[in-house]
Amino acid sequence: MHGSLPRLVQERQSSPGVTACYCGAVELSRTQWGSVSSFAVRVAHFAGCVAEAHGLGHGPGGLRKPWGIEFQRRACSVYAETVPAGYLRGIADASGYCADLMGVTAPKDSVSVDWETVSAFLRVTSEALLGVPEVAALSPGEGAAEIGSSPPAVLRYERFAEMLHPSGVAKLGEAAKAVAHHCASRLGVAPSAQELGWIISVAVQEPIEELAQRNQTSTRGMYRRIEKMWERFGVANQVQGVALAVQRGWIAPPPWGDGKDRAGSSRK
Amino acid sequence: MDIGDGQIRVVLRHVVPIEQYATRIAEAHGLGYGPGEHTDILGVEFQRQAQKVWKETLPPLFLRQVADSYKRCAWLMGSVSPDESVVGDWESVAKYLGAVAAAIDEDLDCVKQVVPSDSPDIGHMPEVIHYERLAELVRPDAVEGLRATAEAVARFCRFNSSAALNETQLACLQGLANGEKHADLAKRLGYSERHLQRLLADMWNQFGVGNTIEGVASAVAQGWISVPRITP
Repeated sequence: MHGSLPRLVQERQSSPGVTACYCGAVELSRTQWGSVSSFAVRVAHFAGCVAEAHGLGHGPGGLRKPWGIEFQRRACSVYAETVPAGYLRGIADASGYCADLMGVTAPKDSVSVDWETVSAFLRVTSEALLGVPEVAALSPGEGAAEIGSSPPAVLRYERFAEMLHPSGVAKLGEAAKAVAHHCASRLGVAPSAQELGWIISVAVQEPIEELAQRNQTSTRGMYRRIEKMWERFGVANQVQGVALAVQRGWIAPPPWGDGKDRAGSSRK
Repeated sequence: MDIGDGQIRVVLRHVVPIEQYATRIAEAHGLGYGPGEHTDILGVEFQRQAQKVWKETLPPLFLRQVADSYKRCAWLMGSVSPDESVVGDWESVAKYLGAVAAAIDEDLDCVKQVVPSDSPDIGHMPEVIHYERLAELVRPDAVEGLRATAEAVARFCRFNSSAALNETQLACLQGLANGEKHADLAKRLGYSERHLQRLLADMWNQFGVGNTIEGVASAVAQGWISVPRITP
């Protein structure tokens, strides 16, 4: 499913060159993009579970920045109630490493705020966890082998809901989804915002001439761009390409009536 | 009575969350919680204790809706006959749903809740449940048994939920999702291209869609077929 945390810990141990300083122009490797993507998916899941707890009547609390140290310090005592210290040590190490990775690259403007939000969330999670004596007493990576690919269900999400304001949780969830989509796009396994528009146009069978005009290119050029996009996703034709887009949730499933508002869960 | 596609979907909506529920309890066991002593996870005695745990984090109205939804599904499962291969698991899931509903119905806070008449089925299993507390009540083999039972019923439902489509239709849809061209697909299935076009036109009519792109995307969205794993 997603990349595992033990792998992240191993990566960190073998990547001494990655530091917390912001260099701004370092290109991440394919594996590192995958690592950031995995963590973004975990953060989105966390935010979704807290939002669900709000929906069930827990809280809401007043904290509007789940990525702030104030929330994380309070959250640590809740994590420690149900999650073993070894697991938390693994989370602290892997979150810190992922925040380091996010600090050494400069994402494009459209996702930079979301990038900083997720990076800050991971950084303060790591810092706060390492402030817990039982966690700090363990060696880096100790217990990481027990960590699964999504946050454990034993976390007390209702307690986080009692601390956090829904707007902050929603912002964190949206930011994490945007970062995950950006990573997938960089890995070539998800469309960019522009490509998403092309897929929707193909799905609703908008005349290629109109699409070409909107994209300021010739009909032939538009065919070539779309063909290249299908090649990148490894699909043979538009039928398979649109089906893949529906399967992966990039666009909403049919029926497609009026040609508007078809983007799926992914933010443009 | 045979099982219709709509009934199968109702059952599927309930068994998938049961699988998740069991997996989460097993995860808590793996983190060192419990194990408890209960072996009969399908019985009402365990459910009475589980109900106390659910009530810690789930509101009475939600639990009332769960009970109503589970009762409807248990009744539905009891009124149809699945294949012999799955009948044991089918009955176990129906028993589990009935026991959960019965335990919730014993709670006065939940019973007095008024549920809107148009309330939808609740098959969802929230993550706020204290799974570690449930792990402390029940044995791991019982949890694994519930998971395997729910998985077997889910598999049966998935296999049969496309019953509205015949084998030829499924073969056409999967071929298109695999990226096959009409000419190649027709040749592989032993049809003329014109015959294939007629088959597809009938199918798009049946789905209520206008063309191949929308038809294949609909079938993917329904879970009848999937685009194969692609490595660009």
